Formats: sequence, C-alpha cells, structure tokens
Amino acid sequence: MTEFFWFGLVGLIAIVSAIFMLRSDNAVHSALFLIVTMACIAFLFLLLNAPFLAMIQITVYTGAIMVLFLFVIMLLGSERLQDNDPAQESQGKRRNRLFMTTGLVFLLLLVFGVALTNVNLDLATDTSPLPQLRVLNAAPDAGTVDVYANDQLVASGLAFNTTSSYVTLTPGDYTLKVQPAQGVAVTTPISVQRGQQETAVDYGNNRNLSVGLIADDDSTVNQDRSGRLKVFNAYTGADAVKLVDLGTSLSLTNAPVLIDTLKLGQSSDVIYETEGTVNWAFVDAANPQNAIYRVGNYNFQRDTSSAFVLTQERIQDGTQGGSLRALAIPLVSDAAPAFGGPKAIGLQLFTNYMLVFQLLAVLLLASMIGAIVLTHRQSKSATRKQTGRRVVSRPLVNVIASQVGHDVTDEGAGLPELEEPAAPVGK
Amino acid sequence: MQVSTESYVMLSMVLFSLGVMGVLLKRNAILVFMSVELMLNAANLALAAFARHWGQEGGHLFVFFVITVAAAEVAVGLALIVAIFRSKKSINIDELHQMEG
Repeated sequence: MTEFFWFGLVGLIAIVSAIFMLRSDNAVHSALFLIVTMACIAFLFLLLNAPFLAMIQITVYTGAIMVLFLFVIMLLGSERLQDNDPAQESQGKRRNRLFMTTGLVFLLLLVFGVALTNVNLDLATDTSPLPQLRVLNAAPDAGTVDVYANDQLVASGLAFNTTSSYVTLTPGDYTLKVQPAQGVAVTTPISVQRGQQETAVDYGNNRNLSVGLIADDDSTVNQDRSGRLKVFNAYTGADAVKLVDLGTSLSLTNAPVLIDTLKLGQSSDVIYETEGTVNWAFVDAANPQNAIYRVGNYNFQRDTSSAFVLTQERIQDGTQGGSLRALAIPLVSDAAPAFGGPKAIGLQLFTNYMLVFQLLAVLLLASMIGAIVLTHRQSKSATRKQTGRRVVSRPLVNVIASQVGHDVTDEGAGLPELEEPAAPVGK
Repeated sequence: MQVSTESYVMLSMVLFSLGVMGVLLKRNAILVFMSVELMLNAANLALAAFARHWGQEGGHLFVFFVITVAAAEVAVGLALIVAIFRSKKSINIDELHQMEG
C-alpha cells in the first residue's frame, strides 16, 4: 500500500513538474522543473529495485547534464527568450500548430495504450537458464565412477572427493546411472527443470551405492554479510547427525544446534550464517556428546552458497584394509549479486556487454572532441577580434604617427616645421 | 504487493508524450533539448520497469547506456547551440535554416 502511495505521489510530481517545464516562460525555471522530474524518476528507480540507476540518475542527469544546461542558458542569457514571436507567426498559424501537435500526441498515446492493453506481460515463456548437473563422488570404496543421465555422459573417471564440472541438460526426466569401476551400478530417477542446478552425490560403498541430490542455489543472499549453508548427510556411521556451533569455547556442552537431526541421504534446509571464522562440529544425533567431525577455523564467506557433504574417507592406519573416518566436503559457490546493485551491473558490464561498453567509451571520447572542436573555431575568431582591439589601444605616439603620416618617435627628424603662431592682433 | 509494470509504463508514456509536445511546440533550442532529455528519461523508466518485470539486468544495462549516450549528445548539442548563438545571435529553431536545400 505504501509503495502505491509513493508511486502515485512521486509520479504525479514528475508529471506536474514536466508540465510546468513546458509552460514556463523562463528557461532557467524550465531547467529547474526538469531537475525535479529527474529526481522523481530517480526515486522511482529506487522503487524498481535499481539503486545503482537511481544514483547514476542523480549524479549524471541532475548533477552533470542539468548543470551544463543551466550553464549554457545563463551563458547565452537566453532565459527570457520569447518562445513565440507574434511578428513572425500569425495567431491562426500558431493555433494550427498547437492543434496538430496535440493530435499527434494523442495518436501516440493511443498507439501506446493499444500496445499496452494487448501486450502479454505475463511470464508466459520461462527464459531462465537450462538445468545443470554435476556429480560429487563421496563413496570412499567405489573407486572411480562414470555417471550417465539417460545415455548422456555427465562425468567419467571421477575419483573420490572430486566434483565434476556442470553439464547442461534439457529439462525433463532422467535416469541417473552411477557406474563404479568395479562394483554394482545404481540408478535413480531425477527430474530437472529450468533454472535448477543440481549436484548428485554418490555415497556408500561399491556393493551398496546410493545417490542423493543437492539443489545448488546461486540466487541472491538477501541477508547482509551472510552466506547460505546447507548440509547433505552421506555418513553411514550414524543414524542421524546434527550440526552444532562450538563457538569460541570449542565445547560440545550446550553448543547451539545449527541443523537438527539429519538422516542419511537427506539434504538439510537452507540456513543463513554470518561471515567469519567458525568452529562447527557434526555430532551423532543420538549421542550429542559424540563429535563425528569438527569443522575447525573454517573461513565462512558472505555472498556464497556453501553445501557441506558429510561422508567418510578410508585411511591407512595399519589395520587390515584401513578404517573409515568422517570427512566433510565443502561445496562453495558464489551467490548471485543483489539485483540492480552495482556489483550485478558491473558483472554484466564486464562480461556480456563489454563490447557495447567499449563502443560507448569511444563515443563519449568522440563527443568530447567534437564539443571542443565546435567551440575552438569560435575562440579563434575571438582572438582575431582581440588583435583588432589592440590596434585601437596602441600607444599614443603611434596614434599621432598614423595621423601625421610618419614616425614621431625620432625627435626633430623630419618633423614638419610648425609656423610660429601669429601674434594676437591688438591687445 | 508491488506496483504493476503497467502503471510504470503508463507513467513513462505520459512523460514521453509531454516530451514530444515540448519538442514539437517549443522554439527555444535549449528547451527542445530539455524535452528530448525528458523523453529519454521516460524511456529509461520503462526499461527499468521491464527489467524488474523479467528479473533480468539487461534493462538496467540499457538504461546505463542511454544515460551515457544522453551525456554525449548533450555535450555536442550544447556546443552546437553555443556556436550557432555566437554566429546568429539567436537560438530560435525557426531562424536556423542554413541547411535548407
């Protein structure tokens, strides 16, 4: 409701001051009314989730361009320039022009209106990117695995604790097949939609392999100075695990629970954590004093999406075949920058729109040179005028010399003999 | 509940039409220029509204480019106006017909 109120108020101010701009006789007043309109549009940019554009609007438009306008108006002294000279234009011609312009503008509004009422602004076609899939091999005993979605190869020869790169799929249903180098393949049905990024995790051992899916979220982190965190449980040593925050005391007693009871093969809900160095521990849900794995001095960064995959690794400790130990694999990716913010605009500017950006830079340079050239000719003629004026203000001797016809600086030489003035007649 | 895209486009439409009226009716070249700026601003508003509607940043980028081009245009245009004013002592667009065929 308040957004409607502000939109209505600011929009009205914008329209009214645009009308005043057209009605005003004084060009300086017109420029000031245009500044009001532009400030209103900057406010509307803020309402439209475009803070960067709002700032650009204020600094470039109202700050630079309008100051340039005011400067030129005052330089030319054209504030009071009569808009319509009655001597040049008859009243009937003037009325005719006004009539035709109003008609044209109404036609324009009609065309816009028809277009606006007929255009389909519903989100009919989904333009979000195609789904992507990658695989993390978290099965310590399965060796390398090959992964197929239907018949399409997603990853081959994927070793333990490695993640494949993303493979783009067409939206639809797939049968995901994980084939270990030695052992029994496992298949699982998955369905992928546009805009989704998934990580398939295979876990267990080569006789009993399982596959779970983690939805990767690269959308905006809406909380300031925080990152997104989720946990996938692939740890077979306990029924369920918890993630607790040890804090600075590094004590398991009364440690706050970040993610509660998470069963094997489950992916937790998303939680938001503040950036910084953290000490977390995965504990057995049945026995909270039993730490399975400690995430010590982990640097948790803001504006990221982190997924921890809790699994096991096999270590050689002298026993037959080695033993299993818990391992948490972090999958960290950057979250998308906030919509309309400077970071998002900059990212687009330096990737997809780099060429346009360069061309605009050249255009700006050309316009700068053009403006200089246009005014430079004028300054040359002004210099010529100045030399002309210097002829007038030359020293007095020169003025006299030009009037008597020759140089007067040489004393005595060639001076015309002045006749002795005649003595006044009588007294 | 946010303000609909249609409302923004209607506002932009009205501002654009006011700009068109200014360009067609005004005789002062500086006021014609200011009306052109008003039209560009109206178009920018529509672009930003559509960018929000589709959730894509392309519209914001184009607003950025339009503002840049407007700055270049104003620099050259005002230099032209100053040059013309110095030679003809007038910026009434009806008196500027050197390029008439």
